[in-house]
Amino acid sequence: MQKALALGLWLLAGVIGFPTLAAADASGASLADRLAQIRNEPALSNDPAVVESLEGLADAAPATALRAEARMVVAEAWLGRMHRPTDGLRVLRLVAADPTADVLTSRLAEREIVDTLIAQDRVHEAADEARTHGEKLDPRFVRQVHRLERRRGLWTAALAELVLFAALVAFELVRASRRRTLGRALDALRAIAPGVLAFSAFVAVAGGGLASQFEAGNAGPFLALGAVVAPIVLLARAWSAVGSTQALARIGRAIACAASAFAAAFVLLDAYSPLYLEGFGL
Amino acid sequence: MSERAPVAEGQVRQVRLGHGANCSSIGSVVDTLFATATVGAAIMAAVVAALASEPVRVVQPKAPRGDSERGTEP
Repeated sequence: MQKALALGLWLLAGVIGFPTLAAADASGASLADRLAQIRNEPALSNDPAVVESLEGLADAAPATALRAEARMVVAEAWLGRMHRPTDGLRVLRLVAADPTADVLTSRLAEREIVDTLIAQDRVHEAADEARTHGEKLDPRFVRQVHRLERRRGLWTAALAELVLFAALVAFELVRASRRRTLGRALDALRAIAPGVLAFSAFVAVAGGGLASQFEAGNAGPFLALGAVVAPIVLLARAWSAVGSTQALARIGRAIACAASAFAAAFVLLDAYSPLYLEGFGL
Repeated sequence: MSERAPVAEGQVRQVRLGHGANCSSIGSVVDTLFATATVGAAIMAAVVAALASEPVRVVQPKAPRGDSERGTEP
């Protein structure tokens, strides 16, 4: 009976002790020791081999808050100094899904997952992540991510609109050329060009001048808007000169051309000054 | 590097709420300015696109009836 009890205790000790033994590497250092060592010696955290060994130790360690902390150190090294975002994301996901991780560590991991996805231009995935794990993220941050996703959708739509506009105008001008009526477009452009160019110059110079007065202002968006307004309006006039004269066609053209002006402005702001878009709630 | 002294409550005359509300510079309206320019451009494009060019047909003027009648008179 005593032998059986001793054997049972020995087996139990083995089961309990196994993860602790497994959490030690070949040099005998435990996860806690290695983590403390890396934290005390910053040079160690710049060595990929050391970070990999810490990751191995963490994988072998029992599920504790310490393991999550060690994984965060590993993830930050992969994401930052080592430039291995895929590995960093994998480790961050382990931390975020770890029920034994400290709440703050878990939230930090989730936030870094979303930040990393955005930095990799994977905005839709970042928004999905924020939707799925919104409870771990700051509501304001979640709103920002959704806004970014909406902006990306709008950007795609704006670009598609501009391509469609260019294609429709080109189609109509080619048709007019075949009908030998292109001269009408040229006549119309000659008549309207001075006014359009004056308007564009006004937008660029007056708007850019005012914007550059602002401490953190940037004349770039106004100069770019002035530069794109002229071609859009001139193309619109050329299209109307050779296009159908039916009321529905004219209304359709007007909507398409106005939408092109908005689309061009949106694309410009997205490229030059996204801060303006935030001001408009986009 | 000098640190800015904290602003005492008595030094604040008025605080406005809203986007750029406490900014006295052009910075508070520069985005509105851009929006206005964009709307102006869109309206101009729409109006210009809605213009219709009617083809002009040049016709020969008919000869006055009186002249032809006069010409046939003996």
